[in-house]
Amino acid sequence: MDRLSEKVRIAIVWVLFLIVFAISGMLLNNRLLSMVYDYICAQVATQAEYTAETASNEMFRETDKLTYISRLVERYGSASKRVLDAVSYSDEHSMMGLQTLNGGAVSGAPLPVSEYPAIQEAFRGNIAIDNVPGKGLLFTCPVYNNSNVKYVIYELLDRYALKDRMSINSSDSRKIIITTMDGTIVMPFDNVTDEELKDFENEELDSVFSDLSKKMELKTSYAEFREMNGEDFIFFVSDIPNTSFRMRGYMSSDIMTTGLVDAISIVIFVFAFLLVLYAVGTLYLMIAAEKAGESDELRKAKMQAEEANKAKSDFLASMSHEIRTPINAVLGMDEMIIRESDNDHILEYANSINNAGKSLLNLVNDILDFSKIEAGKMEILPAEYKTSFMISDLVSMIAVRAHNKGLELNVNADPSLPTVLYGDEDRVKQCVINILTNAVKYTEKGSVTFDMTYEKVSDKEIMLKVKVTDTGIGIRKEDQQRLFSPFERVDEQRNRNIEGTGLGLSIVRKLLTIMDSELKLESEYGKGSTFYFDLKQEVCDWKEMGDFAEAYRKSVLTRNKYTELFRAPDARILVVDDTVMNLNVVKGLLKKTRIMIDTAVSGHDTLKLAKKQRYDIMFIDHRMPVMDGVETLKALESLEGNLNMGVPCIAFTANAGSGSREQYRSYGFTDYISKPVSPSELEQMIVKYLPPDKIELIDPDSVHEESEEANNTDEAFVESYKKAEGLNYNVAIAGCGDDALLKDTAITFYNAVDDNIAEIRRALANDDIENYTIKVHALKSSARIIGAVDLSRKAEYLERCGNEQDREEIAAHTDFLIDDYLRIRESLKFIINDYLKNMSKEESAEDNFFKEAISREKLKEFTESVKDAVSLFDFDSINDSIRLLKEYKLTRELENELKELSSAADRLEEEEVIKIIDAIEILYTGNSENT
Amino acid sequence: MNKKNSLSINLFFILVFILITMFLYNTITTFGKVQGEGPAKIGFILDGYSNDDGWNEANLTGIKNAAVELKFDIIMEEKINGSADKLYEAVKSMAEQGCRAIVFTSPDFVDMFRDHMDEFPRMVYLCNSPEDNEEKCINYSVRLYQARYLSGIVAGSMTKTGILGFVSSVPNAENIRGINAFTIGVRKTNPEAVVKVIYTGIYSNRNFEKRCAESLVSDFGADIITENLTSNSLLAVAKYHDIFYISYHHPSSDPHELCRVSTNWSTVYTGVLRDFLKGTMTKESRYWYGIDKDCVNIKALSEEIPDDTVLRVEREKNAILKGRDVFSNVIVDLDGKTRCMFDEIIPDDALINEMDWYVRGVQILDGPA
Repeated sequence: MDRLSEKVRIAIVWVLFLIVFAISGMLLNNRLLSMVYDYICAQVATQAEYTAETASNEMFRETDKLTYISRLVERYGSASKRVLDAVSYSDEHSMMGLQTLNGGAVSGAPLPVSEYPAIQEAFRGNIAIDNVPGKGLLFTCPVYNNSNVKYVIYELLDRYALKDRMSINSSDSRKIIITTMDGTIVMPFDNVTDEELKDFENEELDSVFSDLSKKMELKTSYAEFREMNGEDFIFFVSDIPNTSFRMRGYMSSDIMTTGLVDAISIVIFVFAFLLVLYAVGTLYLMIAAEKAGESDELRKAKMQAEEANKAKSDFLASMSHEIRTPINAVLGMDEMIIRESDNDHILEYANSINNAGKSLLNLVNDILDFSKIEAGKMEILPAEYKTSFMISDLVSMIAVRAHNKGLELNVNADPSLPTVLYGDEDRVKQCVINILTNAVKYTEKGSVTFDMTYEKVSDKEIMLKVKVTDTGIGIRKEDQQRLFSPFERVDEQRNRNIEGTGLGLSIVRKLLTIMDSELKLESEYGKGSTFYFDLKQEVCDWKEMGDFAEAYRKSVLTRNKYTELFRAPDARILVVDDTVMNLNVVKGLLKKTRIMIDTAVSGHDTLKLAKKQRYDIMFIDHRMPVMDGVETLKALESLEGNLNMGVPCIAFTANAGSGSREQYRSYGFTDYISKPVSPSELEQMIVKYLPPDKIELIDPDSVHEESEEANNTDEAFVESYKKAEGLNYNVAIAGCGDDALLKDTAITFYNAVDDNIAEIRRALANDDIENYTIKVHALKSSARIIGAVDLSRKAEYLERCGNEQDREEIAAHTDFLIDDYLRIRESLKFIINDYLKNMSKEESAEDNFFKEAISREKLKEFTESVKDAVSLFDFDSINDSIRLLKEYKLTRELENELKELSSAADRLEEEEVIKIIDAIEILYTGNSENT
Repeated sequence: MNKKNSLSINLFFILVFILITMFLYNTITTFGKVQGEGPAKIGFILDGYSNDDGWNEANLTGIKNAAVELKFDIIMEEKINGSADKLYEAVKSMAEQGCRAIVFTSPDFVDMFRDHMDEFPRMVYLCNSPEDNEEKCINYSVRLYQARYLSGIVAGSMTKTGILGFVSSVPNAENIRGINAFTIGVRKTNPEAVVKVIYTGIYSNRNFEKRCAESLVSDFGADIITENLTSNSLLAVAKYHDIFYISYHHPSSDPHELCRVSTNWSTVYTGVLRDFLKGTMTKESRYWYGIDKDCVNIKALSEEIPDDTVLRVEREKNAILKGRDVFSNVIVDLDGKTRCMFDEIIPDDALINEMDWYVRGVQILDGPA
């Protein structure tokens, strides 16, 4: 609407301007024409004056002649008649004479003084020229006798004679006549024909000239344009100087105007042309402005799009980041489950959670990395690293996957590789593992070969050569280029079952580019691919690393199952995190180290604790509300009464990335640990920073047994707790932090019930409201801790009543409270009994250790029976067979295989079952040394 | 606020648009047109009062009529009273006011201003001077002598004593011409009559004028008196003595007024100033209008004048109109010298510049003491 009215307004203004211009043009034209006509008229008038001057001179030539004659007459006095007769000439057209005052004529015909003003005028001593109507012009001149006028000499000439005597002509095309002041025609100019002369006599023309004469006013000449019979003329009049005659004339206007009017035409034409130009120009500008407006909008749209894209990227990055935090929690809790549970199913689920969580984490990390690279924030931070460690890390990371897929993993690491290299180990690993993961992903059968060799470049540098060859599906030539584009996944149809973001190779390529390298690819579709790259790394130690497998094997052993490396019962640490769950995770992870752990959920709490207690290490979360980790640290440094000066502070961060360590050090942290907190990392960190005298290193095997015992009890306990009436496990675990604590708390609670009820009753009976209130207050908290939410709420209400001294309400509700209390006791009793029973059962399971080892024959029998069952589709009997097998002492590996077998059977997955059975046969029956 | 702003901005631009359009229109329609200087300004200087019922008023009436016809503005100064300084100041002021021409109505002005004429080189002086001999002046006048002549015819026929009194101001050509023409007229009807003349020496001095007239009547027996003065002061003398008085352009209905010599300056000023404004005026130009253009006449003829005298006046007037002017045929001066012979006529040049003689019948008397 506004735009429309805007356009209408512009259009109105435009039209208005056009109209003004057009009118101006017309006015200008008229004005120019009138100016030119005025100018022409002025010129014509001036010209007429010159002509009149000439005419005047011609006329006075006649009087000059008369004057001359008069002098002759005067000289010869009495002989004047004879003189005049001698010089005068008279015929039918002209008459000359010498007139006396009394009317007679000395010579020629007498012209009575009274009838001829010109004669009178001459007798006054003046020369005169006058028109004698019908006769012509009378020229007179006085003749003196002494000082008085005696005669007047005259000459009267008719038109014919005048034309003959006087050469009054205009050589141009002007038609001119001489008239008296009142318009009586005296004589025409020579070039005026008789017919034209008649025209002058014409009344119409006469009125035109009369009009002009009036307009002369105080001028001596005047000219004007007039149209006459469809033709333009310039009419003009002019006084003939020193006479009482006037000139009338006309001419065709063309003669005067042609050139000038052409000039005006040019001006007006140019003006009109400029007008058109203006119209076109402004139109163009308007359209251009419109277009510019559009392109403005486009630019705006582009900017918006870019902003949106940036927002998207930011969102992606922050989302990824936000996702990591809960994943950390999930993985952390899951890790605890894996550690503490020996229940096969639970472990299986937990492993699944772990795998899925790690995939998710990798995905998120990929996205984060990618967005970092995109934003140019990815930095390469070189450091010393051990070559064998890196290789074994890589192998251990990929070996499981390869194994799970039934692929042969060949690792050919050149033993002569230098022991210590200098470079960004993390990034190199990231590149290789990405390639390896891809290789495993896209290979269904055969092998994945990982080669690592080197070439010496200089005394300080080597060219690390990495090559990954698979026997997978290969990549079509036309797809090879697309392979490195982000989010692109080649051969989508065929690979729809393979998960992935399509970011992996893109990240690899970009990382390598940053590290001055290039990912190369050789592939044959259907046969396999080879990815390889050469990477320059500095050498710190040229010593050969030898066989990495040793290190690998060690690594595999330690990784297989989490084990505490140490105990530190005398140490006390503080963990600060605003998320209680995270605190619980840390507490849980370190539980078996028996380390004393205090927790705080905010910076302020930290400060309070720091004044009360000296800790050996403080873990402080970076991201916290109100006062974040960095601020907390700063506050600690300037805190009065701080007992923890110089205590190592380690930052928890979900922001781990390039340069994190340096960054946190600059903040004042001793070190940092990234979330999700990896158990080993956490423990390594503690070992690193704890005073050595507080650490008791322990034998991993003994720990193993202990943990197993603990794990098995938890599962049943939790199950029954969850089923229990009036108890909320989630609330309980939130309150207690872990199951073990919960167990302890629950037992404590259970044992205290009777005493507490008795005390409450007693207080009520004694009307001891104060004690009563204390009791219910205690119950409120303790009930909440074990998850007895309703009971807690009731206790809270009564506590309030106690505070208000509301005895009536207390009397009315205490029985309900006690009822609930007793009900909770019943529930707890059931759980605790169940738990205690389980405990004893697990203890008997320890006998497993002493069981007979299973024979190869027995195992073969088992595999055969399972195969038969599968062929008969009798999956139920598979579990029976497995149960039979459990009578024997089994290796841990075999036990796991059996677990998988059992679950595969449950899921009725024929192929899976066959695969596992094949594996068991290959592993155990064909290879007797394993049994 | 915004709306208000844009409204005032719009109004502003509309105003500018209108102004520019008007300016454009004005430029187109008037550019190059010579701004009219307005009507020409003509200075007009009177020696006496502009409402004196005499010479001054007659001249003023004349130029006013001319101004109407020719559309010019009159810038008038009066009451110069013979003061050269006042005259100078008047001219200077007129020059400063942009007058291009100044009319000197008094015959004395030329002499009074002669020394200052060069101070205003571009000024055109139009002078009603007695002679036409001043280079820097354009002379204009009327053929008053024609009317004087006619009044003389009446006076000659009416006198009983044969003595006529004439009080004149200064003896210049103009005044002499008047006395001569009057005398010629008187003698036309009374060949023996004598015209006794006293010069007062100034155009306006009422008491002295009256004393002169008194003298002429009482001492010299004049029974008809006339004058060539600014006022009609002599009427009182005529009344006192119950004699006739020929007035000089002062209208009055007194029975003692025999007739009136009247002038009509409208035609004169129209003719003179037309030529001036047209630019056709030259140094040789002379403006001398007579009875033929009704610029002079004899009027208010007393009822006591006999019819044949009135007819005689008509006849003589006609003769003048037909070309036989006053100073023609035989004219003899006081010294007996024939100034004009039969069938001759004294031309205008001689009349204007050479009339320093008196015709027979004129007696010049000394004024009373």
